[in-house]
Amino acid sequence: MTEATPFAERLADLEGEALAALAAVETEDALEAWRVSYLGKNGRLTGELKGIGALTPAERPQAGARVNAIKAALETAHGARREVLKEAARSARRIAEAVDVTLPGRGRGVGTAHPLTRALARIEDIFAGLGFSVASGPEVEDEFHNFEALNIPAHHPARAMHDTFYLPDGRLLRTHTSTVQIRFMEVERPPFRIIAPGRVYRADAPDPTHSPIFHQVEGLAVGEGVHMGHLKATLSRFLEAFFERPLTVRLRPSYFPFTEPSAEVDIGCFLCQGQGCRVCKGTGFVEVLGCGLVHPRVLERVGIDSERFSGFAFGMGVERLVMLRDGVSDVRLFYENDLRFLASLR
Amino acid sequence: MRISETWLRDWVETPIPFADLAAVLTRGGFEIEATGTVGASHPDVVVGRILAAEPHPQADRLRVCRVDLGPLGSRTIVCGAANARPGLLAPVALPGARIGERVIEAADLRGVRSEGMLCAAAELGCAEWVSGDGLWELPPDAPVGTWLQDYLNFAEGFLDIAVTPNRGDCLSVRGLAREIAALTRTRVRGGRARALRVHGEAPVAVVVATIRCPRYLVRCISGVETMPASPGWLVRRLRVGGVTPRHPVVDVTNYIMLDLGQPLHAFDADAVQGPLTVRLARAGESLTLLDGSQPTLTTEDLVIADDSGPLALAGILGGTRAAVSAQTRNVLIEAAYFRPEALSRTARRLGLITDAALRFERGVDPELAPLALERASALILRICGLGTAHLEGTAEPAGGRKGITASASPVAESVTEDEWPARPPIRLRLARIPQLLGVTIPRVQVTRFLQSLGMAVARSHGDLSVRAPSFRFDIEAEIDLIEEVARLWGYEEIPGDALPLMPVAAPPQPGILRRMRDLLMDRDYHEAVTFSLIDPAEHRALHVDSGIALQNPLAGPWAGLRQSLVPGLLAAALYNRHRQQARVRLFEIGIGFEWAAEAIIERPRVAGVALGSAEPEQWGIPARAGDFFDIKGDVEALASLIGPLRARPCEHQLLQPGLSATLFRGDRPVGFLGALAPEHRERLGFHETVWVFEIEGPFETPARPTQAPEVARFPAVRRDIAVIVPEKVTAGQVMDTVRESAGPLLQELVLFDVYRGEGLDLGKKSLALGLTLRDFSRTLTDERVDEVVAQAVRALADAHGAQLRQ
Repeated sequence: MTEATPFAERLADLEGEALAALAAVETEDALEAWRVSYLGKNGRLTGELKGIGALTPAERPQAGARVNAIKAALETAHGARREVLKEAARSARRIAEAVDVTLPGRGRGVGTAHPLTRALARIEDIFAGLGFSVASGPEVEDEFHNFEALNIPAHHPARAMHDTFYLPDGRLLRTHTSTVQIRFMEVERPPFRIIAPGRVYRADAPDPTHSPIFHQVEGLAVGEGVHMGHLKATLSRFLEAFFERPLTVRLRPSYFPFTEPSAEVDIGCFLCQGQGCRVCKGTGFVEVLGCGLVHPRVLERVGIDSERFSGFAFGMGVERLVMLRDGVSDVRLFYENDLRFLASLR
Repeated sequence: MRISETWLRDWVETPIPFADLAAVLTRGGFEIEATGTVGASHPDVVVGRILAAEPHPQADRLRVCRVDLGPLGSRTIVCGAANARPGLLAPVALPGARIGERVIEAADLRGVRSEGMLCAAAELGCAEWVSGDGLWELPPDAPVGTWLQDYLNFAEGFLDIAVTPNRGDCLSVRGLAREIAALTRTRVRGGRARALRVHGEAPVAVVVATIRCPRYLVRCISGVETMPASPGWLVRRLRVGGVTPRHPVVDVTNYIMLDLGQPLHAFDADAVQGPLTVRLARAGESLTLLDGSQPTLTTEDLVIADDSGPLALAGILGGTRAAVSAQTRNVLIEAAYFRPEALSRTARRLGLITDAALRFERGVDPELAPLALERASALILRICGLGTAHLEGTAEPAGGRKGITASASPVAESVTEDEWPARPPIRLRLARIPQLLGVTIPRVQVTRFLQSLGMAVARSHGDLSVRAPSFRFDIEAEIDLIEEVARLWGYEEIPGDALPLMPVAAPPQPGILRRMRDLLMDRDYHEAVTFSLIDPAEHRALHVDSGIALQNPLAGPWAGLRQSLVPGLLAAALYNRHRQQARVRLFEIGIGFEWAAEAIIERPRVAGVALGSAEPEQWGIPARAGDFFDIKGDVEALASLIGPLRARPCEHQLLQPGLSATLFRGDRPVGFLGALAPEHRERLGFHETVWVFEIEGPFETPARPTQAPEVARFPAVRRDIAVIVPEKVTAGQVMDTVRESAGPLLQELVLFDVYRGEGLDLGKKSLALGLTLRDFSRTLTDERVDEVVAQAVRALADAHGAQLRQ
């Protein structure tokens, strides 16, 4: 057993004192001052290390080892204390920075797309999936493209189906997007599949079901061997995609001068499951669009061989489709732009 | 076109119940517009005959009527109608009957007991059955004491059928009966005329001076004894057809038109002077028509004339000069074939799409005229030719004319058969049917379908040769036959078949408009869609009128085409402002119209309007009204999509000077932004500043670079300077000068502060600019940076008198 030397006692006192002082340290600055005071270049432990030289050679190794052990112990204690202080600081920060996360976020709002343009975009996307690209034509048209080229000669009774707005120079506002069929086929050769969305004009005073301006999407597919069955399948797929539900789709014979055979397309009323209601006027069906095979005369007029090529065309009223799909009861709502209406159909 | 069950069954005996015919007709291409019964149910209303009508002792306007109800005895009824008179047949509502909202009871009316009510047609919901008002004057054959609803068969069903313009042959009960027969595999019956016994000579010479009338028949029926009204069955059928009874002769002509589809016209023979001439009108000629109008005619109009001028607009409407009246004794009945194009122009110009015009312009069977004329003649003789005294219940004494019979003359006719529509045989290639319909239909079936529609079908080299009947004006080519086959086969029997795949070319610039729409939505704008028809006066007031007006506008603010989208958006903003919306931000992407030389350009445009606070109401940031730079930020965001735009001060009369800018793309002005001028704001009724912008297209995504740019490897250096310039120098000018003078090393220039006030002279401002410089090939030295900045400061001093602020 080794007898305690005065040097060893001093070291033990120093360690005890340093640890006591460390326990009282509460700030980063005080911690640094403590470190300088005990472990620094001119610190007290360093001073003791220098004192080893005054010991006997026999005492030196033991004393050296002792000083290093205390130094290590103090450094460990210092590190631990620093962690404690840091954690205390973080904790204080957490409390100070806490917010009520249920308060609303800041910044601008987000606007909405108009129900009509949103529907037009949907229609374009659905038909893109069926291989149709988008074509367009002017809204101010001539008699040729709006009527004659579509097999509606002057004074044909079918013109009475269209109340047409005229400009003083004899041009007119297109009454249907079927004009784009002609514009497109004057330039392009089959096979092709297009849709043509756009505004059309009819001289009808606004009421819940009429508007002098409305939107149509015309469709046209011409190629070799295109037939009525293709028309049926294309429209069924489109309608089920647009209305996002399985539908009964019914074609019934009708008349358009530029298609033959012509058909109106009805869907089974999904409000009453075909039982009969106000929307379907008790018939169980609602009319959604008109269609048919492109009349051979229309093809011939734009120089397409109607013996080799055949095709189908269809036209739909966008307002009507949205009214059915979203239960809008008055077409005028689309043009009033009431923010409450616009925001309701997000 | 309305048909009733008994009327239809005159022509076709189909085993299908009437109510189920709606579905059959729908499948055959005839849309059902309405269904219903001929009249409402009136269980306690009976036919009565007024025996006596005495003044009420206590009331000037009332009369005390004694009314015969046949087996129900007679009753006293107090009545206020002016036409209550002895002999009149009228409906009587018995006590207990429900008329509209009230129940009839026996009651004392000013001291006289009244046991029921004499009714007007309107009170029974039958206003359209008669042309006059007062008590309903029932036809003379109405049996006294029978229930009114039994006599007029109110319970009978009708179908209102939409007939498409190609099917003029179905604007008659017979025509629809033919269709129903074909659709239900049965036959029509009747249709042959029984020859009438005629007397005397052809009544009048007929001169047809135009090829537009290839057939004209006329006959005289003399000695017509007109009665007050047509018999009940005729009144009923006219009602089914939607025609109001007027005069028995006219009623018969209308009935034949509804029944057979042949419009007829009746003239008072004694008012016609000289031969009947079918000719084109002379320019400036005029006549008074039955609707009271007096159109001035042109040489495109076809008239029936006599020596004194036009009597009728051929095939459209008669004139008053030779109109049939209560005094008419001799009538000329006309049955003609006018070519479809002969009168449609006139009818449309004058807005006279009469029942007759509607049929002629869609095509009337040229072979139909003799049958129609014979049937009409026979009916007129039966109804108007026997006097009235033989009919029970007629109080008016027939006097010396009792038993008079009328007689029919031979028919005068002009025919040009060469001008009838040709019905050449049409070749139907059976192979075309599966090619176009996607379904194979056996030849036997095809043949049977076409024959059931009255077509003559023959085999020809393995295909079919088909000739359409004279009443079909819509069968001209093979495709017309294929449509008929498809119709009878049933569209629902054609199977759906997916289109084969076809490659789609991707559009070169996908959806710039969609991208713009998304951007504005994400910047808190709601999308609006406004009318492109506008009020030109309003647009002129806002100085954005396109100058394009409609020839035939609707009444209302829709007389022109818009050039700018802004007025429509302002109206929408105001609409919302009036509905408690304090913050309105709307945009529209649409077409504006403008004149360019002789052409009308349709240009896509984007416009926006914003009013109220810059941000939605929220906590933590002070509410701030939106200002010029908020909206300019939105415009700059758009510019990031569609290419750079430069703003310069502008003087658009729509906008407030000093608070508005013109937008330039290069040197071309392409739009504006700013505050709506105060005078417009006040006039429109806005109480706050309204910010607007509009940019015209075409919009294109700026061309994509074909090679990605080099990413700089050397660090950039930023230098900030502040320069003092006079107020009149714009930030844009200062920045332009810096860009031009700093040279290619300048990568980015930001303006980060504007200062006025302490330390600066009045009329001066300080602009703080941050210049980011970079050299792509080496690290910039301080000397080089100093040089570039000094160069810019010098240029600013030279151009704008700028001083560097220390």
